[in-house]
Amino acid sequence: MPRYFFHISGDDPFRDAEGMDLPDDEAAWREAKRLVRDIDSNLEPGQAWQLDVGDGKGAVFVITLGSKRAR
Amino acid sequence: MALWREGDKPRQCAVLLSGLLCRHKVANDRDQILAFSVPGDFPDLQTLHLGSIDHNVLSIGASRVGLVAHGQLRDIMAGSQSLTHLFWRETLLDAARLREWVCNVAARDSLPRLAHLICEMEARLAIVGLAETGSFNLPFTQQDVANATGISAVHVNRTVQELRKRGLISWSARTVKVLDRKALRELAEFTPDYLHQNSATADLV
Repeated sequence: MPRYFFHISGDDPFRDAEGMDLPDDEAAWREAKRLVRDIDSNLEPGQAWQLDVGDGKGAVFVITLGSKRAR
Repeated sequence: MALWREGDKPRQCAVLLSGLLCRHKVANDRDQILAFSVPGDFPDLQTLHLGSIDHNVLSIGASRVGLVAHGQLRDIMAGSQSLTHLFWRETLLDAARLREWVCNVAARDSLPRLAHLICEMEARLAIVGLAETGSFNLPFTQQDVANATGISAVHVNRTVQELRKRGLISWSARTVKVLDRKALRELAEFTPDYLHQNSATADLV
């Protein structure tokens, strides 16, 4: 099984040193979506972050989320 | 390793002697842990009345159970009203913990949610004398914690790091030590009331 790494950059960055063995990209995408949901709770207005999912050889998915206070 | 699989029709009940067990189901292709059993618990007392078991009961790492035939348990209960009440109480406590589990998984953010799990495990292991020095053994993998809390495994790692960074716990080589119990419980909104340790068990025996 390939090992996927989930690095987070932005206001509350995290370097995923361990990674996670997952069967395929589809499983990595599901894990990424779950991770996005978990990170959401830390987001403050004006903050942004990016999740980079890689398999050690290169990038597989990138999810970005930005926010701003409109008033 | 499985003690019971969903759909099994156990003819005996288990009492956990050492290690940890969990109740487990698969939902939406995901493993969901619904409860942990600590030594002294009967993880399957409901099978006395419900016939088939509606979830898996799995061992977390190595564990040891004792098995008692349903017939023997029925005989014991027929001869002792107080034991009947205690077994009934055990299933009520199981339900009380499950209510708290649902609140925790559904409503709390990752950090307090994971903190709550640690608080509960410490409190329950302390009741059976397995957390007396303030530290206790949790043979969980990162994936077990993810399956119990519904938090992604990567975020479990990140959340444990945050609890460490805040000086609330240490967690290494499967040993957890609570460093600041008051702060950890406040973060987790944990009060041990739902474990019902002070209710009138003594009156029944």
